[in-house]
Amino acid sequence: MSLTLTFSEIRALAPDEKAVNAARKLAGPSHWQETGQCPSAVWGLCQGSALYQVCVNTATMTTRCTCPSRKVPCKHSLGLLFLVVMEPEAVPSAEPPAWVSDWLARTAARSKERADTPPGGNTERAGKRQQQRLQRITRGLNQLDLWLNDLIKNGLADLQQERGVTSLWAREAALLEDAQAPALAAQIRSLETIPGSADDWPERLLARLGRIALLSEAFYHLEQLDSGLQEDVLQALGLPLRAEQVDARGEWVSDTWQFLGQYVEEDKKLITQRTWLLGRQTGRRALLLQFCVPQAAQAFAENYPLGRQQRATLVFWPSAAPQRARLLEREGEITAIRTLPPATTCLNEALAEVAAALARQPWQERFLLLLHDVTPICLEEGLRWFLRDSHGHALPLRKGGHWQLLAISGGQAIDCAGEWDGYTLLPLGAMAPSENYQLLEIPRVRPFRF
Amino acid sequence: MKDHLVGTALRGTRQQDRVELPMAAPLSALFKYLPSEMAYERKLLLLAGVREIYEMAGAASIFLDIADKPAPPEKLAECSPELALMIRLMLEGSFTECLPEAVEQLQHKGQRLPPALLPLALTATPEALQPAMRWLLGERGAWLTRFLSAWSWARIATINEDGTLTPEAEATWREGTVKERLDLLRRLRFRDPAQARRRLQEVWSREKADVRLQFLTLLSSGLSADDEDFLEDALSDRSPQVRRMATSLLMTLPDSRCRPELLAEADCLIQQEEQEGRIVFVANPPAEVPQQWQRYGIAVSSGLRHICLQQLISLVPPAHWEQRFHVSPAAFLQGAAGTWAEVALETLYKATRLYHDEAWALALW
Repeated sequence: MSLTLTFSEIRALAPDEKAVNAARKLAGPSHWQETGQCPSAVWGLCQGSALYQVCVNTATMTTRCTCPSRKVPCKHSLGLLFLVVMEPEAVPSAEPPAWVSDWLARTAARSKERADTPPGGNTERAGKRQQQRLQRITRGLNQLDLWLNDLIKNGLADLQQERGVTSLWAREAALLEDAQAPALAAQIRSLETIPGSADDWPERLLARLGRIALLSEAFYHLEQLDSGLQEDVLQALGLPLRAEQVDARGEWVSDTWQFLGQYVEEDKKLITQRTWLLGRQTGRRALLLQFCVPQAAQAFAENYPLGRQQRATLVFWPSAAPQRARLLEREGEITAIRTLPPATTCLNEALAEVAAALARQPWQERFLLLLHDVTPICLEEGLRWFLRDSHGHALPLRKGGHWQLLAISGGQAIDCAGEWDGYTLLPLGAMAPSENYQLLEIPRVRPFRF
Repeated sequence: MKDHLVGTALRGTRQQDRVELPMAAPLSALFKYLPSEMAYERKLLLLAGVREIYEMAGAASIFLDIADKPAPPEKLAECSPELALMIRLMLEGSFTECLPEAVEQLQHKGQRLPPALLPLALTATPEALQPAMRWLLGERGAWLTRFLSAWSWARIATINEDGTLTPEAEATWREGTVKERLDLLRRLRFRDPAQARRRLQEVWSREKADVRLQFLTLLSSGLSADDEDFLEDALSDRSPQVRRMATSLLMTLPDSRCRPELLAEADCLIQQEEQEGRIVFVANPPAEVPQQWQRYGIAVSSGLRHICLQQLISLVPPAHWEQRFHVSPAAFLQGAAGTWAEVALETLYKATRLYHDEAWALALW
């Protein structure tokens, strides 16, 4: 086999741009010895301060290098991938040496172990802990409700001055963290950026505050909700499920999963990576989330074959409208995406599907849309963008230059996958007639949550 | 109604009478479920939250009656993914020194870049490489330029397969900016030297002197004996710079009429002599500067005989002196003597630049 990654896919693996640049310099055969590849891995020895053993598992895109760098993947692993892509003849097919096959065997054993671990533990004690936690959250939410009412009593007009660590947002967020509702605390903290941000900020702020009020209201009536929605409410407050709880209570779905796109949001405290998947046979949409803190040496734990597809089993978080998922097991070859599942060619139909999903779970904020036969429209030198279907219906695209999408389309109808946030669509990838699916480059963005 | 909810929240309920919240159809039905003892502010918040979700669910597409004419089909084959990756790295700032060669190679192969790479190529190509890069952008690249004025450099005024110009190219040639017309002529000269010369001849008398000079410079690529008549005509141009450029082009044509004439004049000026046991080269200006030197772009003046001499010598390909005196460039430079010695370096430097003579450039360095 020959690894057919593209440059943007390799770059998507990298922890930062610095690592990419360092890796490019290592992409010449002169830096490498004893390189080789087999169906499941590529490897080589790279001359740095010492001679490092570098290996990439091409099924999972996990990397291993004996260098002391704390970055994962390190520049040597990325450099090896660049080398394979740019000069495939420099990495001949070969039997993996012992150090490679040992490592492959070890990682395979580890992932199996993870998959086989039975869920559970001491359920009685866990149940008691959960009860205590729910009580703390109830007290926290009671206090939050009073605070919200006070905001409305005093009026939102004066909130533009509230910034920084001592702002009223930060103080309320701290109280909610004490009450063990970290997700809700993060939501409150993010409200700080809204006042004064745009002409219609009071409207946007009130809408966010209203959703938060609905969440606490839902929590008080938790027992009246169906079990899926109960899970959604608890997750939205920040009661995380442990991996084994997800495995036990969530839905497992095996399919050929198409990794349609990814983007990264970065704020002061957290970097969030969102990866959208679509099941080739089931048509199911899944969102994989990974988090890390800024300046951490270790980037995200898992690497995905972006813009490609692979057979895998996902487990969805229990929910009234399951969306968030985790990769359990990946098997088989990573291949290019040549066909996408059937999808609508009418934007209004796509929006109707969104409405139906919202009816099941009203706190959802993002949706993967797959649209067939749509054309990007660029207006005013790229200041305004739309995606238009053949009936003349159009959706606005998210702020930014969608030049790659325009270039891939060339004014012809294409298939496009994107993330809809209720207002705008962020294109993630596109497929022109008789071409493979192509990932679009998406710059890192500051979160823009309204 | 939206403004009422927002307005109330903005001013604060403390400040005003608690009027009944006005409600439209879906919200009024929901409102009935809210307990009457619930705080007024809480009701307002819940309604605002519900309305937000209703609006998100009710998001509608807009009708957009705009459609762009699609890009025409490509004529060139797409380059390999490996080559595309290398060009991308170079455009992004790695190995940039290799970019000119890579672009030339691709142009030579008659291939184009894949569409996804075009925005980067249109944005990041250094100005000096833009004329060459334009060949690699294909029909799609030309199509993209209509959307962003910063990309107008890549608006190709295309030359057809048979060497004729497309209507757009004809328009560019007639009405384009000097830069656009220079680019067009450069490419036309590359494809069809005779047609390029013919087109230049047609417009020659209408162009300004500095534009004539720039156009004439382009003829150095694909130069042949066919150009001689046109260049001879240019020797009577009004501008001395144009005459000088025409002279230098004629000098590089081995069988031009101009070449032996000028070399004969130059040979009379520089003599080899022996002074104190070493070979020196002495230059003597002519007693009377011939009027015909004006044809070479030299400002003939009897008061500036030395300057005229330098100007003439700077039009002689430096390699001529190696052949005439059987010396190396270094030996000739060392042997320059008399009043001429002071300006020999400068004069020969000019000639070296004019004829891109590497051996002399090294010797002068």
